[in-house]
Amino acid sequence: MGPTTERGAELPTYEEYVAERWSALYRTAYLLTGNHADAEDLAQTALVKAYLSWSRVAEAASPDAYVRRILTNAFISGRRPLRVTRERLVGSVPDVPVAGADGETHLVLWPHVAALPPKQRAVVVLRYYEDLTEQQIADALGCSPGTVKSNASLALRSLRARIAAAEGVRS
Amino acid sequence: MTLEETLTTELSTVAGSVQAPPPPVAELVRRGEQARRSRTVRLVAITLATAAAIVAAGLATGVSGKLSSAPVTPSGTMTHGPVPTGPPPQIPYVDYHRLYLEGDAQPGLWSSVVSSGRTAVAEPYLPGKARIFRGQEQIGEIPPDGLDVFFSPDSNVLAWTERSGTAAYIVVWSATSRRELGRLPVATMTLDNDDESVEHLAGVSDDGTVTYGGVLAGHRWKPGTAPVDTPVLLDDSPKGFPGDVAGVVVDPTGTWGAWATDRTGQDPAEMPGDGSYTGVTFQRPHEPASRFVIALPDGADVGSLLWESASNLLVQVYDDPDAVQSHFLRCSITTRQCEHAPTSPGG
Repeated sequence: MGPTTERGAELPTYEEYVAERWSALYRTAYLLTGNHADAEDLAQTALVKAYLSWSRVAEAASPDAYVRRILTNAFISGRRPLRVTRERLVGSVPDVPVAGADGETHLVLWPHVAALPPKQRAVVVLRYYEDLTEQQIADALGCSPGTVKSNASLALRSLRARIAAAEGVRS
Repeated sequence: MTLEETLTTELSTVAGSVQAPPPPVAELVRRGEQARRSRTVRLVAITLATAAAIVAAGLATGVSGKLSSAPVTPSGTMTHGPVPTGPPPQIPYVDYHRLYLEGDAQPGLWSSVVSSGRTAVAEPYLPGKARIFRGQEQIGEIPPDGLDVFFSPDSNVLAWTERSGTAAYIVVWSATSRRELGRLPVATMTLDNDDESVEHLAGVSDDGTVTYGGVLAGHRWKPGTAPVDTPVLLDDSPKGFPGDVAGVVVDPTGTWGAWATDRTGQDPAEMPGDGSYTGVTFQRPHEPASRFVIALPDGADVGSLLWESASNLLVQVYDDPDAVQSHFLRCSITTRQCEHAPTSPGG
């Protein structure tokens, strides 16, 4: 473990933190970006930023929350309009299809999550994967709980509409 | 199953199926050091070469000249023969968490240091306030939320931005009287970087006048007076160098600029393949014919560039792409040769 604060609490070194938390950050980054190349890029970008402010990150009540905020902000601010537009136009599917118990691909919502606008997608991932409260998500995104609530509502409404449309096409 | 339950299940399933690559710890540390170097280099370059000119001229607003950065033949080379060893670096530096001031290691663990003349600001590795030094004497502190430290050209005045809750301030501080000269609340500094209204500190002059602004507005403020609007801050990079190069650092007299390149003077990031920074290009501002390249020893990869004096450039060198620890070379624009600048006894 790393050095201690004046309060005697142990602080992880940057290297220790990365070694321990990399996989979890990578998975969250994957859910945000939908592919491995962008996930790795996003996770690395967030951790490089964390390196630059490591003393603050390590001192934070929750270093994970601090890094999560960096990660989600990097994701949202790094999404260029062209890229988002292209993703919507081609309806790009995540590059890892997941097989269900019977060997079929049973993911109904995930392909549609990938097509949500960045902020709605971030809210969905933080709410339904990270299991954060509205206040925690608001802290991560630097917005109000009301904005979180409205984005979550819009995301769910959009997902319902997309599923309905997909089922309509199939039937 | 409700939509929300399905979401929870599917996101968990997808995440559980993701095989993360091994944690690239060394690579991240290396990129972090490079990013920190870029920030430091920018501060030093602005402090030494640009801030005074900006303030004196009431904010210059020109953009970088679009001069060519065509390949050049190296005219200084370190690729053959032994490299001599000279004295340690004579400016403040941090070597693997150890802070050196005037050549002496200081107690504690440190992340970085920026300096101008005998004044230095060092950021501790552990959470806490940054320390202001004059020589080896600590003369002040900057709160942990202090950012973007600038030095006046005479190194006697510092300015930084400070956040307090949802507010942001520009703080001006005297290294001679060792006290705060004034602070100005600047709401636009709290904005997200994506907001075009966001403003940032750009420099401080010897009389304590700070310049700040963004793409929509520029301002000048001296403690004890009201802020004055000025032209916008379009570009604070050094002028007179190829417009397509980044990270130019200008010597304290403004006579030479230097930037990391490959051995032909080109940016390897813009070239095909996975090239590394194996050389340093030098040029006088607005004089492309003066350009020359010093090629570094085989395997060397350039880190940060710091002017030690008007004629000597310290070049941080990594000996292999995966190295975390580095060492310094001292390259002279007079002799166009380099020597080791050991950062530890016997190093």
